Amino acid sequence: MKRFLVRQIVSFAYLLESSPRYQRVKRFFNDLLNNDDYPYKKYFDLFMIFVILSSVSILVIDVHEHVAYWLDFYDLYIVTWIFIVEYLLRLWVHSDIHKVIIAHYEESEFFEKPFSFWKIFKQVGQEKWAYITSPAAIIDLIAILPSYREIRVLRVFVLFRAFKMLRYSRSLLQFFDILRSKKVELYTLLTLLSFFTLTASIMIYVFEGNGSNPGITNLFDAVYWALVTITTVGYGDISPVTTEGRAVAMLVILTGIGAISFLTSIIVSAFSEKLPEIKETRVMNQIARKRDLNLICGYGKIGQLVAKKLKENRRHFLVIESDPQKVQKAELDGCDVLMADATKSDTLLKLKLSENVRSVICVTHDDIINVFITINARSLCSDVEIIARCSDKSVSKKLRMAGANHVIMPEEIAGMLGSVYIGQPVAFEALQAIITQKRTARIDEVEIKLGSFLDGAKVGDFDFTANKLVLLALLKRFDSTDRKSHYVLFNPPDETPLRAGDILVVMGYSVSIADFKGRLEQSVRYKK
Amino acid sequence: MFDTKSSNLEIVLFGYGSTGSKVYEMLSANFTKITVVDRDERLIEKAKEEGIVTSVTVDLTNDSELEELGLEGKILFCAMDEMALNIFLALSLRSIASDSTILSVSTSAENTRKLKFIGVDKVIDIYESSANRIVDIITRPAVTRVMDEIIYVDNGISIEEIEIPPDSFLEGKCVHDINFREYGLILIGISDKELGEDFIFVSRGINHKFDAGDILVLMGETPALEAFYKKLTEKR
Repeated sequence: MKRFLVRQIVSFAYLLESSPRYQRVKRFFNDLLNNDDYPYKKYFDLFMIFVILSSVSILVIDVHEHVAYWLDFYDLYIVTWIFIVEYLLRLWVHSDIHKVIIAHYEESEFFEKPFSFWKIFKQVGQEKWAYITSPAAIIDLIAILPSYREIRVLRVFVLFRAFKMLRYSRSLLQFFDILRSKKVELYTLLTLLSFFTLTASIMIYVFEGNGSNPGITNLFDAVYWALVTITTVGYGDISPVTTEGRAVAMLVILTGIGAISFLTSIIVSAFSEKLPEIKETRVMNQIARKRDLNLICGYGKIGQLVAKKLKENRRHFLVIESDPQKVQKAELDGCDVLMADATKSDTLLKLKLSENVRSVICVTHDDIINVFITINARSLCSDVEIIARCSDKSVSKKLRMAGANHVIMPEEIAGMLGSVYIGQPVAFEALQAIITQKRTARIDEVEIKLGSFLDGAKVGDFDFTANKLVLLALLKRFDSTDRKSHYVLFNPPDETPLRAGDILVVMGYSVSIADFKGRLEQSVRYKK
Repeated sequence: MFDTKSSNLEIVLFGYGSTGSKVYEMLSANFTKITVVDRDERLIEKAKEEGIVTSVTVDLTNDSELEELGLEGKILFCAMDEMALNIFLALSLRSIASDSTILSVSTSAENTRKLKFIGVDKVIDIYESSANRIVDIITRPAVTRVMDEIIYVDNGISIEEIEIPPDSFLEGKCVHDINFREYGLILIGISDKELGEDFIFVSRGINHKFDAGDILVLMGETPALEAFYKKLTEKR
């Protein structure tokens, strides 16, 4: 009998393990509930916040006016069911039971030990229990309780539904994280405060609880008074009447001021200590969804200029800098900054180098650090574009070896520009004007999209001159699969065929280029 | 080269430190008559060791020593590592050699402004141009690629400027009359003496009339450029 049961269970576990559909469904729910990077989680969170707010609103309105029947029904059944389903789903995705069964089965087969249901039960129980006892899960559970209308006190627990919102709001969670970092101090203070409150309340009770003060009739009144006084709230509904009582009050007030200012300072210092971290999370959240991110490593002279120009071109970028002063400068300039060391792989991994990052720009003032960053980035991702700066020719070779796609040598560029200027001032000014895009004439690139009117045409089919454009060069793909490698054809003859993916480099005024691009774009739409 | 102008130019390069030595490297690829001047004897020794015969040690703050170099009519390139000295030098040079072309490197927008104020003909901001290049690589990779092929890579493609000599076959003709593609060339623009020194891009679509003295900026392979130049210089 047991053997049959074991076989059934184990084969079912294997079935689950091998079923892509089951895995997919489970992953979907896990993403929806727990994965902050999952795009649809946001909508789920918003939906839950709406449900919670509506439930709490119904509670508040219900105090004075009788809410409509359907609202009551909604609160009692629909909200409750949503919460129960969510709770069960969370419990489900927390751990995999079938994996435990399989692991145990394989272990028992290997060691030829008997298959024990008890052990599985224990392990699964432990895993699920760990979830059930986590603070968030307890709040979830309590939030379901108010549906049991028979006990009125439970209605207050509807507010726990509000606490549930914490789950869906990251900034609130962060606040608790900050407090948690000062756990020891807060515990100490809390112990101290409760000790003072207790002492003070017993003292006032002894002095005034015997009937001399009508406000204090039992120990609860005394504790209430002590707490109100020690927190410097001081309602004044109960005040000491005897000299002894007033002496106690004076002591309590003094300790109260001390304790409260201590509490404030703990929280403030916790915040200021965590400020860089808060900023970091904020920046990370902001850039998390941006694709095509450019990382500027180093905010020196070149870094600053690159950041400024990228901003003008509306490109996403993130500055990584380890010097606090430069970080501050970048913040003042309105850039997203991460105070981190780009030579560490952790930093780049955190930014999801292979998924989100388009290029890494190494422009620290130190050649060696630039080489390090290049090696770091290249070792983590093979197709990210790396641009590195150096001032030494020997380093330039090393940067190439380390995997930099482009090496920038500022002095060399200056020399090159100088020599072009000396030889051909007019050509230089013209080039400079089109390169820096200072005048309206500029050089731009136009990619031939699949299905546009130039796809499959020849160079001569389009009259560039009539459209006030000059075709300087054509970049053709080496093969159709590789998007990146192109070879350059200058001044291509009329019979050169054009294919989708080829890039035309044209010179012209901004309007002409925009017009040309627009026409290409439109022709794609009509063909489809 | 079909254009003999550039090989005859005499260049005086001031500074042979980390900036100057690299500028020399780039200049020496295109020009032969380069004199290197620095105030640091060790740097000049280094230059001599590297085979630059025409290198001299000069106290750059002393005007009379500078005058002895005979700077009139030459191209002066200030590439001192120390920016304050560079600006001072540019100022001295401007006062000594009023009709020379002065170029200078700069390290910030502020220095660029000062140098332009002094009257330096061309200021090259080292960092600005590097940043431009980085941004171009990111925002317009194909354009950058093409520009690199023209400027850096020695594949025969170049942009050249050609002055129209008197009595050439272009005389009296308009831009639209000439099909430059037949010559394997692309006309990028014209600098016209009549309209001042302003540069006209051909893509503006103006049907400009060619005159002697106009400067054409052409792109193409060197043989095509040479052939065109030859045709241009032939008398009608």
